[in-house]
Amino acid sequence: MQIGTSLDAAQMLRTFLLALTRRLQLRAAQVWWLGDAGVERHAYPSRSISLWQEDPEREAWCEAALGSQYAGSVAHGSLRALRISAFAVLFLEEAGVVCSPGALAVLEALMPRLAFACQACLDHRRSRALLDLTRLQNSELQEARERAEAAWRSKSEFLAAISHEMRTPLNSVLGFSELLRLELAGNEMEEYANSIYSSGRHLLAMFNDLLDLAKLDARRLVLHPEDIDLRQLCEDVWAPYGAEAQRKQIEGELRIEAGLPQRIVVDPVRLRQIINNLLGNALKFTHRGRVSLSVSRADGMLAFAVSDSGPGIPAEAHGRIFERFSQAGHGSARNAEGTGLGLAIARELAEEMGGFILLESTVGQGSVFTLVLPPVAPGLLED
Amino acid sequence: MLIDVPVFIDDADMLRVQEAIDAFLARGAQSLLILAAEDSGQNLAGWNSLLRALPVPVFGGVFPRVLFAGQAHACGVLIVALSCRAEVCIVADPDGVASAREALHEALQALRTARTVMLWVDGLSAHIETLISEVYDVLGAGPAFLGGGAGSTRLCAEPCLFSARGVTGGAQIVGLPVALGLGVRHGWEPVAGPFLVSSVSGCRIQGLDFRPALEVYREEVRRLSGQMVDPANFFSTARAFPLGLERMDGSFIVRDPVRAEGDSVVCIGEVPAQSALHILHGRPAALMKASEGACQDALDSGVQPAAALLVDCLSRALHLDAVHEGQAAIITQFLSRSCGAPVPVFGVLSLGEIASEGAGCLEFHNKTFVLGLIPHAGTQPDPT
Repeated sequence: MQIGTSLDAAQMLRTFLLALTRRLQLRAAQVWWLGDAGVERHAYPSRSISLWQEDPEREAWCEAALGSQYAGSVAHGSLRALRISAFAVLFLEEAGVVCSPGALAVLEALMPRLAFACQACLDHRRSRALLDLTRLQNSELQEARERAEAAWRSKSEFLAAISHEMRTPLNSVLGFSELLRLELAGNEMEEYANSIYSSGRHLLAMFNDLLDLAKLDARRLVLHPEDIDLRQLCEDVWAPYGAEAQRKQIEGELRIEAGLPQRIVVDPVRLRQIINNLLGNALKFTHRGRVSLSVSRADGMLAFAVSDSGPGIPAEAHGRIFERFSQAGHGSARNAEGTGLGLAIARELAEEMGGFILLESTVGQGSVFTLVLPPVAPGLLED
Repeated sequence: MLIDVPVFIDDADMLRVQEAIDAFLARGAQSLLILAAEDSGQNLAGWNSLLRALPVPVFGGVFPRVLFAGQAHACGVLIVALSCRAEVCIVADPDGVASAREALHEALQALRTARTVMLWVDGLSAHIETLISEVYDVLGAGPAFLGGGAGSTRLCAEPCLFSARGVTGGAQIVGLPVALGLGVRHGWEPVAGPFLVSSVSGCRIQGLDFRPALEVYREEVRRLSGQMVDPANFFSTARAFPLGLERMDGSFIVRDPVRAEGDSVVCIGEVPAQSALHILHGRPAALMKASEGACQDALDSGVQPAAALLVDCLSRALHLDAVHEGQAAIITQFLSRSCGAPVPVFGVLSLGEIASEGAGCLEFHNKTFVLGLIPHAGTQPDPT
């Protein structure tokens, strides 16, 4: 008699009951199993379930047999019950042939094995249910994540489209306001033209930032690495800030460490954008002392450190200032113009380029923002 | 239940068949059981047009032999007209039952009130036992089950079942509203064993006692009969030494070994793994006594027989040879003596028998004698 041929209780018990019914020439055999959801019945033939239910006396006897704790087997008319375990009973409906004592002894000896097989099925069913629940939850989480990402992408795509569309008319505003400034030079209206022009510049910068962020979110920002001269790029970027530092009468310095590779492969536009942002912030917040850009090697990486002797950033604001629309100061303490997007963009661009930005700052002493990039040798591009 | 004595037409003349059917229909036949011997089942076109035009349910098929008037006929058609309406469920592909279980269960719902269920199957189907277990699963132990495997001694795949669709393969499950009295016995006795079925695949026994099955079987048959079993004489030698699956009460269900394949012995009917198998032998006297015992079992059911439908095994008949020819006469005499009136006996020699033995579960038998006593009309209350 094969027992435990499957971990599916219905299949395992059907195989067993079918073989048992044939080997003992029974009319029917059933297993009653007190499970989590009440009495579970497995039968061969399955028709016997409804036929037995039509006989209240038989039903009552079977329920009593399931509830009592006898050992071995008990009989009632053509029915015989064999206890499988504390929670399960095997019922046999005999036909003309009555089970011999020898056959019964063999069957009783099989009951512990059947109990093990039933327990294995039960354990399997429970672990399967748990697994199904976990899969369902995972699938719901995945769906929610996909919905959120889709919504975020839609928003970003909309933002990218609208920023692009707004930049076009703004360029006209900027162009004509610059002409107006020239036309009205020395005139009492010159101040108005200057105001239009500077507001336009500010709007353009903001749109450019929004466009960059939208591209980053929508995974549309594509880097264009080029083989560039490192020193040349640094000097070009530094030049206007060096002049501005001089104008503000603060000390400015560009230091490029000896032994650095002459040429590197990097997206020059995005590298300039990051350094510009860091230098712009440094000069904006520093009113005396010094501002410097130094390029060096750090643990095999390339480090562009922008340091200043400005007001510094409190430790609790170190994380926040890289978030979008966030600045170190709040409310009335906010003393600088800007969208609060620059550092967020700089950090995300750095990560897109395979690097990161470090911040060291002490209130009252100044700040150091360090862009760290993996140094890419130009030869790699040719592969 | 029967409308008069069945009519036997001793040739394959379709016109005579049609005339006999028309006569029964004129007398109010509600269903027809048609049993054709293998030589009379060849005219597929003729049978198709006849069967498809019938206005009442029809069932039956082509069998190696038709039993009528004490003789086994290789040619001839037996027409049995019933006064009750049969519910016929056709299973086009019994080998696909496992994958179409729900559809079969649905179709069988119409037979849940039947008091007799006949199962006629293509005897060469590979999954007869799967079909049988599904039928019993749905219908339970209530009805009397009787049937067998149709086909011919040519043992080739060909349409062999009669229904309103024409001549088809597959299987048919027929519900009747009256209960037949059943007797099922075989009379084969164990002469060697038990052997543990250590390796098996369906009906192909690969290992007995962890040795090649053919080697074990060959050794035992040689010891018992002095004959050497080889592929050429396998069927003729092995039919005298079938295999018996031991039940827990010590009785046997017979499995007929039909051929050797490599080291395996191939049977008609499935053999469960890890079962105890014996080699059986049938003394003619014991087999004949089993036939009488089956008649007595059927009579013990309390049915007052108007006729007896016999499903006997072809290979059992071949083994009994001349003795088998006297079996029908013995049965007829036994039944007539017991009932005090003549009881016509008719039936088929089949390729495997289907019955519920001793009111137990439904099983597929080999080399077994199955007798169904058909009651007189009006002797059983109509359950409807």
